[in-house]
Amino acid sequence: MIRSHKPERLALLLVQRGAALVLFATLLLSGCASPPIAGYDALAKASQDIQSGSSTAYTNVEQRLRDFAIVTAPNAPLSPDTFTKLSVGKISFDISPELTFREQQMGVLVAYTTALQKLAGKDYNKDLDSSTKSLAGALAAIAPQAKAIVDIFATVVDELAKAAANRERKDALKKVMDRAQPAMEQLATLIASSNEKIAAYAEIMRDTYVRHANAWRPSYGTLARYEFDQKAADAIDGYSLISNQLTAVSNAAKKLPAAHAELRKSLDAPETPQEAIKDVFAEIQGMRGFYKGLESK
Amino acid sequence: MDSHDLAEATTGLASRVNNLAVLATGDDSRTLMEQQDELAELAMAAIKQDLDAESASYKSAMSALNDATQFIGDADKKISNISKGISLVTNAINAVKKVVGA
Repeated sequence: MIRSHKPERLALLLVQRGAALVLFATLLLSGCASPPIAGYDALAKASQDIQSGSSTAYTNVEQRLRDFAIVTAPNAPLSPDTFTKLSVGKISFDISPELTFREQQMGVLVAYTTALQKLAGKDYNKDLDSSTKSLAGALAAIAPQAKAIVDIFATVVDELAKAAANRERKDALKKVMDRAQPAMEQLATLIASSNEKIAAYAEIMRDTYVRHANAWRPSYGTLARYEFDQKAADAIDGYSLISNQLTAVSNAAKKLPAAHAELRKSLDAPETPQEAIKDVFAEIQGMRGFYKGLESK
Repeated sequence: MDSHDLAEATTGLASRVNNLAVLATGDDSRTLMEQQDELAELAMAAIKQDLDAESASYKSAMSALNDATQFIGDADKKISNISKGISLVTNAINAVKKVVGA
């Protein structure tokens, strides 16, 4: 026989039946501290800085490529493509597509670290607060006489839901960061390897410029020589800055996987010190110095 | 010899030609200068090919990061579902309320 319940008894029954479950679940979910949000913010910011530092250096390489075309223009009548034809015979030496490709790949890194940052820092509690208030309202309407009990029940549900959301968030962060760690390491190695090659490329352009500049350099003791040398000094500085910038980006990128691993570790051991991300930012500070130098060129 | 070695060897040869060019004059000097330019361009072309060879590795790393980003999106929806679950319970209560006439 089905017993009928008065509304207030229904609310009390809900509380009684839920109490044991709530206690059990709360115990299960205890220890779910929030992830270190500042660390994720820093990781995302560092990735953005690495991307912007790379873009600046790549843009400067492309600009120097045009200078290179001018310096090495053959002793022949000008044509519309004299300064845009970047090939030796049929072999292209234009690395603009390779630089663009790398910029796009950096965008994927930024998208990943930004998604991590959002997941770690998103305020799920706002939605939960609103849902549990509605629930409390619904229960209170059923059992106005048991308001105190309903309020306690709603509070417990609210806390439980927040703990569950936090646990889900931490589990998701753990899974995704474990999955991404090898890619972060591979990417850091690739960025450093690519930048070394791009720096070597810029060095060839610099050496070519210096060789040609020596051939045209005006006589010693003339105003023309002074003016020429000023331009030459600026141009040579520009090449050095590209090289330094690429090295700084590589150094920062190489430290990114350790920062990522450290954040992952802190999900299991919240007391883990956040040292690696500080190392990344120390490298980025150096990169910003070169960045300013490149922008003024 | 891979393209990296080729780039280094070509750059080395350009440097030696430069030593020769310093001693040359007139047409010889101009010819050597043009040859150096060509060697520089070939070294740059070799570096370009070397960078191209890395592209597959980049794509593999990026594919893993893209998957990770997708996973985060799915996790976000899952966590948001907790709130939806509570709302569904509220809806159920409201429905029961109507039935029992509370």
